[in-house]
Amino acid sequence: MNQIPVGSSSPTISIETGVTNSRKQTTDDNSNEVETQKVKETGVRALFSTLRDSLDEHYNTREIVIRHSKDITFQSKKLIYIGHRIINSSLDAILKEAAEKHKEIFQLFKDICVHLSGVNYFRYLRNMSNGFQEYTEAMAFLRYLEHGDLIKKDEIEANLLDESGNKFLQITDLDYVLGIADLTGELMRYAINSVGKGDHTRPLEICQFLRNLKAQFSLLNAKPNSPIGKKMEDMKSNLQKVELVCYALTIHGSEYPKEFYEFIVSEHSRSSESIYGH
Amino acid sequence: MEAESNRRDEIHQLVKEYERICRNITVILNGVHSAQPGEIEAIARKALEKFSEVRQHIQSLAQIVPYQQYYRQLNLSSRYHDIWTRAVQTSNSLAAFAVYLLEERFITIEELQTLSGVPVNINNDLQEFHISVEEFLHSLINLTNELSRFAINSVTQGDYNRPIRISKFVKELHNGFQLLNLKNDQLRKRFDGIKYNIKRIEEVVYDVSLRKLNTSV
Repeated sequence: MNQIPVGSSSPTISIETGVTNSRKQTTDDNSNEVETQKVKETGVRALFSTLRDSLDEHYNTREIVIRHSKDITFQSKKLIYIGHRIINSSLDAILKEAAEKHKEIFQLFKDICVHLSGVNYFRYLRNMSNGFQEYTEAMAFLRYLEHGDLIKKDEIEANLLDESGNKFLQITDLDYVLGIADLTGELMRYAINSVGKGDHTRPLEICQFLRNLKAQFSLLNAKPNSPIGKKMEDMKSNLQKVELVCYALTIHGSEYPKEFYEFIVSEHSRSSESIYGH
Repeated sequence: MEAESNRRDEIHQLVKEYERICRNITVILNGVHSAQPGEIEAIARKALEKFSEVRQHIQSLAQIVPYQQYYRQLNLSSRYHDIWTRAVQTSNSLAAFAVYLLEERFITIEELQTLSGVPVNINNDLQEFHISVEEFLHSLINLTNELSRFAINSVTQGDYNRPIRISKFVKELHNGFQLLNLKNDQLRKRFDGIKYNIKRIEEVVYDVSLRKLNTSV
C-alpha cells in the first residue's frame, strides 16, 4: 500500500501538515465530540469494571474449589494409608482411626458445598473431580477391608449428609467409576502386603474380586482413549500382578516354609515389574 | 444415560440450526465490506431484525437444557455448555458488530440480553440458560477481527475517515480489557491477539493520514 502514488511531491511534509491539521481540529472545533468521547469512555470503563468483578468472582470460586479438591485428595490418600496399616493392626483400630480422619474430610466437603450448589455444581465439577475420585477410592478401600465387597455410589454419598439428614453433595457416575478403577491399585498393594504377612487366602480373594470388577468394567464399553478406557489399562496390569502373586503362592507353596513367602513374592513382583514395565 | 445421550443429540441439532441463522446474519453483515458508506445503516438494521430468529433458537435451546445443568458434564472433556458456546459467541459478536455499525459504540449488556433473549450471567448466580461473561468477552474479541477487516475495506470503498474512528474504538476496547484480571486461559490468549488487529488498523490509519486522505479526526 505504501507504493501507491500519493500525488504529493514530498512525503515528509505531508506527514507534518497532516499531524498539525488533525491536532488543530480536535482542539478547536470538536470540543463537543471530545465531550461525547469522554462519556463513551467512562461507559466502556463501567462496562469492563462490571465484567471484571464478575470474572474475579468466578476465578475466586474456582480457586477455592481447586484448593478444597486438593485437600480432599490429600486427606483421602491418608485415609488409604490408614487402611493399608491393617497388615499390622486390627480392623477395629483401623476403622476407628479412619473415622477420625473422615471427620476432617467431611468438614472439607461441608465447606465447599456452598460453592457447588445449583448450576455451579457442574460449572466447577472439573475442578472438583479429583477430590471426588480419591474420596471414592478411599471409601471403597475401607469398605472392602471391612466387608470384602464393592461399595455403591449411594453408600458413599450417604456419608455426605448434613444435620437434617439431607445429601448435600452428589458424586457423578463417572467420578465414581474412575474412583473404583483406582481402587484396584490399592487392592493390588494390599494383596502383596498380605502375602508378606503370611496370609494365603487374601490374595486369592482379592484376585477373584478384581476379576469380577474387571468384567463389570468391560460391560461399560468405554473407548480406549476415554478416561475410563485409560483406567482399564491400569486395572488390567493390577490384576495381572495379583494373578502373578497367586501363581507364586500356589507354585511355591508346596516347597517352602511360610517364612520364605515374603522373599519369594517380593522377588516375583520385582521380576513382573520388569516384564510389564510397571 | 440413554436420556442424556438423546438430549445431547437434540442439543446438537438445535445448535446446528442456530449456527445456520448466524451464518445468514454473517452474510448480511459481510455486505458492509463492499457497501457504500450510506448503505451501512440499512445493512445493520437488516441484521438486527434477523435477531428475532436468534432469539427463537436460543429460547428453544434454553428450554431443552435442564434446570441447573447448563454446565453439565458429559465426560471429562466436554460439557453441554461446550456444544453451544461457539454459536453463542458468534451471535454475540454479530450483535456487537451490528450495534457498532449503527451507532459506532459498544453494545451494552442490556442490549445483548434483549437481542439474544437470555440474560448475561453478571452476578454468577443464574441457574437457567444464560450468556456467560466469558462468552461476551470472547465475542468482543471476535469483533476486533471483524473491525480490522472493515477498516481496510472501508478505505477501498473510499471512506477514509472510518479507519480512524475504528482505531479509536478498538483501542478503547483494548483499554477495557486491560482492566480485567485475566488468568492464563483461553481468554487471555485471545486477548493477546487483539494487538495484532490494532496494529493492522493502525497501519491503515497511517497510510490514510500519510496521504492526507482523511478530512477530520
